[in-house]
Amino acid sequence: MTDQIMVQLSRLPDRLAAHVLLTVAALGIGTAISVPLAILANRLPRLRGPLLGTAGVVQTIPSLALLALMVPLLGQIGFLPAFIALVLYSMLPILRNTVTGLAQVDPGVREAAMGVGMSSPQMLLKVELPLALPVIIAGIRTSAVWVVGIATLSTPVGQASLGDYIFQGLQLRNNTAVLIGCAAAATLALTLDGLIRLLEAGVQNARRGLVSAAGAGLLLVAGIAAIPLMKSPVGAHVGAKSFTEQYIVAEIVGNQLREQGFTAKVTRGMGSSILFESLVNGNIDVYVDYTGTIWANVMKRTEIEDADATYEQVKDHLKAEYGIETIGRLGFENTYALAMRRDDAARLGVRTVAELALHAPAMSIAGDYEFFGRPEWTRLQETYGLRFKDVRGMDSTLMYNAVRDDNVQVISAFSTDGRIAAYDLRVLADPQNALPPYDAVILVSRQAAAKPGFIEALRPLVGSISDERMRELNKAVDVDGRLPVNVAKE
Amino acid sequence: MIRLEHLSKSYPSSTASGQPMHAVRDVSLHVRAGAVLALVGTSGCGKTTTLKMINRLIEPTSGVVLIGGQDVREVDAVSLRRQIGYVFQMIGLMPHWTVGDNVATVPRLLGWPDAKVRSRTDELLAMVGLDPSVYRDRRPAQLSGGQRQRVGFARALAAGPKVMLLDEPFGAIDPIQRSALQDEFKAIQKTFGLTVVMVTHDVSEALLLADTIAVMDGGQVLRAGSPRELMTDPQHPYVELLINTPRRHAESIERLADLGKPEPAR
Repeated sequence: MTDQIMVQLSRLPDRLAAHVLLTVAALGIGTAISVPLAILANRLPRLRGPLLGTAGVVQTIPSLALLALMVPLLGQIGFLPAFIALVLYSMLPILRNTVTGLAQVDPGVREAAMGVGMSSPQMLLKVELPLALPVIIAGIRTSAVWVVGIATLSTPVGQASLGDYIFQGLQLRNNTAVLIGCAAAATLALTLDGLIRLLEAGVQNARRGLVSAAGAGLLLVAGIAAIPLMKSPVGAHVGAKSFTEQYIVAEIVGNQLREQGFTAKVTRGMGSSILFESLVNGNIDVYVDYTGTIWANVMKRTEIEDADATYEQVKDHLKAEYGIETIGRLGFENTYALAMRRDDAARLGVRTVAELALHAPAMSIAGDYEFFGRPEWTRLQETYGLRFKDVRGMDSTLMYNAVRDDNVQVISAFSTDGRIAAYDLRVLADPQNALPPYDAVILVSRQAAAKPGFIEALRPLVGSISDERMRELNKAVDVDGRLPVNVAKE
Repeated sequence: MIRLEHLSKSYPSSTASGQPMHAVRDVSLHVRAGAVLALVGTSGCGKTTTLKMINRLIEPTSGVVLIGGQDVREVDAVSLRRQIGYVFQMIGLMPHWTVGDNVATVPRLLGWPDAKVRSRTDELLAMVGLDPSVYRDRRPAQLSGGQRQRVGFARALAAGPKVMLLDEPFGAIDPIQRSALQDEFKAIQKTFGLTVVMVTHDVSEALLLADTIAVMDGGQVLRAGSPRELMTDPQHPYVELLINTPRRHAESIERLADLGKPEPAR
């Protein structure tokens, strides 16, 4: 347990630094944009409605969706999309409070300021802003707490943050990691909030000591962002989707590159389509995808061909359309497969999806977030006439527990998942071939393929991991609770 | 000293009729140096609009304001206002500043050296009856209404203006304090020979403080003249009604007092 905590804490400096950089930059820029905009809206009341309305609408977009939307809009992953989404999020409380603060300045005070001969800028700086300051600061504090919280959602767009603890912890059922992530984010939020409040109290009561102390505290927090500057630059950027197997193979690819003399950084927990986009535009150099995923999502093909034919066509298509090099098949196949408890299957006499269809109307099915939006699901339903009582998208880790505990009766499992054996689940056969082949393939971006020795460095991985081996590795993480980094070394 | 020539102010109509709203119509008035002009009338008669056109808080639609012979439109509005003392009903002290800072507003805007600002502030606080050592560092919220308006007067007088504009300056102050403050103001005005335009709806106040009274209604001046002229020759039924209000009040109060007396013995 202590080892576990130490391993997790060793990642804290980098993640905290990335988190601080993201939040402080977003909050700073958000304030720098919002306060002048609010001043303008105060002078031109016609602007007020549209401005607050727009900021309000941005706020209603679910934060995870807003972050994810930034990726295609900007055509890149990592800092920029997360930063811009957070700036947008930070604006509403600051805008609203600044507008409110300025509007509630006593008209008598305003008239007096004009009457004694203050110019418009003098009135703003000497009278309006100082009187509105407590309300403006309250807005910035609200914003600070929000931004620190929402920044944890930047993991799926490929930006490191304290969210890495939470997303990976949930995926790997590592509660220590989840707790460390939550505690660090909460501490950061409270620290920022407290320091800003202290700064305001100092300004209000004209106490220099308090102002300097709070200012120094804020600078110190901002200084955390500089930690990674002391490190060496990254050579190859390896991507991974958000499930255990991806974490492991990404580490294996990273290790292989390091052995061949490249520096490598692994970014985990990215969304499937974001990851592919990133490979296309070179933000990610290499990752492992599955032929069936490319076949359906990228090539928009709906018919099914055998594994070899699929592989050849995927390889040709990626090369021709995107310049992406397909190095080869890793050796295992991670296909979607419907699974249920072995005892249930035996009791009902279900061995195939066709037999399942008879019992489905009384059953609930769970799948990962993607599954029910994929063509495979549609085809499964059409081919076998499947109709379930209830269909639930959930975190892929939780769904194995859900079927074990009979909260749902069927799940869309992955064929290499270690928990199939560990939880005594039965994978149902697909006699009509409704599900396409999903061979794991190593994809390299056009830019990385041009690096001398890069493709050669990865070639030894081709055919090196069998279905059986992959299931063992997955089990080591998901069931035995070991870390992907350590499992990948074996 | 102050001359208003054919001053008018109209606003674009807010109703469907499309007729512009005339707040002030063709007002011409003259105030001698060292004299007090009172603009009297009911709410909405145009008296405050007229006053605010003098220091350009409101710009006239047509007509001219001359102060000491100079057209105010030729002076920068901000520096014009710094030369004119301005006191109004809402007082408008800066709540985040001390009393001393409030009094020092205009001298600081004019860039006076600190030592001079400080001695001037103390001098003025003493003049309006507030002991500087007691009140200088207090906040406006710690003062009574009457004390706040004393600070308001001190602020208006701080840079030694020749002209003062007062908009219902005693309106929000209780009657006893009001009377004292009116007397003190009259004394200060005489001492410094200030030229004053004041707005009030209190006719007794106008009668007591002003050399000239202009009665306004519907944006126009119905009658302007000394208090005596207005009382002896009102020329207009509304002016007569208005100017005699204090006297009617006094008579009613006297009758009430008489009723309270015991019946004379037979």
